[in-house]
Amino acid sequence: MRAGEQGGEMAVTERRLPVEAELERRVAWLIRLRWLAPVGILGATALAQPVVGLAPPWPAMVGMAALISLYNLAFTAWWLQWQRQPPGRPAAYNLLANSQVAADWLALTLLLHWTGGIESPISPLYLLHVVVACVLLSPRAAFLQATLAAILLAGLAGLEYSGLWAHQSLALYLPIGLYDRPTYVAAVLLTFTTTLYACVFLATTVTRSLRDHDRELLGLHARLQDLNRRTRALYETAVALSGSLELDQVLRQVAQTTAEIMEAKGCSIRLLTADGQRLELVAAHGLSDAYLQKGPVELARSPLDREALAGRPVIVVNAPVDPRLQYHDELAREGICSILCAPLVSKGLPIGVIRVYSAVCYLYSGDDAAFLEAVASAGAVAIDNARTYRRLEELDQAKSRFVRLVAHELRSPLAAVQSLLDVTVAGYAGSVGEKGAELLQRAERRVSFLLALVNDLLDLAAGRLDQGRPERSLVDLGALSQRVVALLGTRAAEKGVALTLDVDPAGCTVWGVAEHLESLLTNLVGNAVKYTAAGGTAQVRLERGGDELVLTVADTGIGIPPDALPHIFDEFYRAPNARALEKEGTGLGLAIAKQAVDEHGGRIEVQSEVGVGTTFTVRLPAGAG
Amino acid sequence: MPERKRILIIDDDADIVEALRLTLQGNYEVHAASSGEEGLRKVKEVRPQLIILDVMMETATEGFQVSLALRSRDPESEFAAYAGIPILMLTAIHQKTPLRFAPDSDYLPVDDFVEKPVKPGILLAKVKKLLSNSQPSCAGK
Repeated sequence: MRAGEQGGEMAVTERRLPVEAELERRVAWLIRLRWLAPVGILGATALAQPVVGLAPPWPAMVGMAALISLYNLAFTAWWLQWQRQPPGRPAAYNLLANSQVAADWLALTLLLHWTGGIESPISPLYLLHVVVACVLLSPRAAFLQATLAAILLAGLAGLEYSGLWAHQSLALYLPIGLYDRPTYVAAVLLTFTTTLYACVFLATTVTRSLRDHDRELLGLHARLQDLNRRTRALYETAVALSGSLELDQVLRQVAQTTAEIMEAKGCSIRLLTADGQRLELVAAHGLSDAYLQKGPVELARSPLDREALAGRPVIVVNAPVDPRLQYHDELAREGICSILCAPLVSKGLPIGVIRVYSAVCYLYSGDDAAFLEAVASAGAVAIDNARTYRRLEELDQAKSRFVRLVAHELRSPLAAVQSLLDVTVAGYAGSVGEKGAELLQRAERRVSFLLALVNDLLDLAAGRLDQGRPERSLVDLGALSQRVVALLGTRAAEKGVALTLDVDPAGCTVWGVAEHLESLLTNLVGNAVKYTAAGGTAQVRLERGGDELVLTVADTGIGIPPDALPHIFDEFYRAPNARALEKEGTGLGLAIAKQAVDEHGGRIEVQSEVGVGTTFTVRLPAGAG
Repeated sequence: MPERKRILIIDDDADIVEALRLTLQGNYEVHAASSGEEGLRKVKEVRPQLIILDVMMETATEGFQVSLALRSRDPESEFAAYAGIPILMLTAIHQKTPLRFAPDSDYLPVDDFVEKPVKPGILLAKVKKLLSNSQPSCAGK
């Protein structure tokens, strides 16, 4: 069974339902309308004599009214019964409609008899009913009903003419009865019948046209809803894709979302290798491992992919026998019949292909291909972004590795120079002389600076590199602070700077890397001491606030000028007043500190006023306890 | 006059060795070796009271290997007699070593460490401390 056809059939059945509902409503409407008939009959009869001088027989009229009311009641009961217990067959309401029309013809014929037969002024009512019939019924049924009407009228005329049924004259305009004039009867019947059929024809044509339009509208509506749904899905895909720059995640997301939107069995994404000769699988959804491992797709042997990479989406209607594909057996085993293949294009160049698979044959249409292209386009952009990001990350890492390499190489020679200088300056190599000592000390200071720089560079590079990710543990920041403050305490005391520490007794632990946190503290506290003159203070405070730790390092030092503030965390940056105070400074300390803060998911802020002091505030997520 | 204690420096950097020698030779008898292999040989020859050992020489683990050899648990080891000599390890700045230092650690038995470049004052203090720790109490001059 072809799925496409099956789908079409289902669609038609669905589309019939609204028309059916309409029939149901019309049938009910007709029943309700019919209540007017008895009222009309009685009313018209009452008015006929005074107004036009006609006198239909009252008993007969009342009887007709009663008859019509009776069978309308029957119809009402029938209809109510079906409201309680729907018949289930679409043809059921047709039966009800046809019965009503037929019943109405009979009633009308009787009415006609009582109002003068072939001479009756109400014979045009038949035509009214023809229109009703055409609206309710199928064209064929309408024609049949019209025929029934013609037969009934002819029958009536015939019976009256032959005298089998007494003609009821209305004692009116024509003193001569016409009902027994064959020419008259024939003429009336002929005119009547032709008009009847003409009416049916016109009415059914109009109705059919209306119904066709109806069907078309329904079809368009369904299609519009479908497109709407897909547009929405496309939008949601784009949003989801923009949520990540991690390449593997993006690829998986694209494969999964595409399969879901297109309601496909599976989806695969293959990207071109660097040499452009093969497509290698990078993500898949809904496909078995056995199928995925069938091997890389050689472009030379896959016309399907070549076609797709040329820029056009390709539709495969029956995969296991399509000559454009390579692995027929595997496709059959996986249960794949339809494939839709679209190129992934980034910056105008194809980077790979995306395929959706379905177990149903002949499934995909031009619309689907266009849609997959749109999805592919969003996916290609996301993939490209993720790849670019990954390359950037790699470059950044390469840079950090290089820095580390250089710093390593610099260490030994610098350490040797420093050692030799230290020893000479200290006098162990014999007396040096005043000038000599001065020069040596100057040299020693420069080397010392270089060593500090190497140290800081290594710190920075280590923080940037992922390899050998340092182990994280629960670090007691309080204890760490105490150690750092103790280490720097002597230096502070020598300078005459009061260094104090306040640790929140509630306990300050952080889940992180102890060494980097120590770096952070050393740099901030060290700076506070370094840039504060004698008599000043450097206060270190550590507080626990909810699920956050707040570290404050406040000094009464030289402060940071406002135009330097945005740059202080930049590498090698030193504010002009800092540089003036102390020439030896690598400018890396705050960069290292910020790196440590970022690594631990925290924030660092600074407030400063020149000549008054500086306060650094670091917030870190607290560890357990 | 008390006999001068003997210190053996094992380091392949001649400049560092020279700096250390200048610092120490005033108070101690200084010997040097420029490789792990030479160092182990000289330990037997010189029988020093302190060994200053560079952590990284030609290869990344040469220093460790020397200390492990000296402190080998094997009673048959040729260095068993020297297992008690205190070892001061020289590390480079910002050196992240895969092994942890601890005086009483089984894993890497060294007694103390000092960072290069070595400040003479710090070196002398550490050497003095290590030597006095291992010295049996000596009465008189």
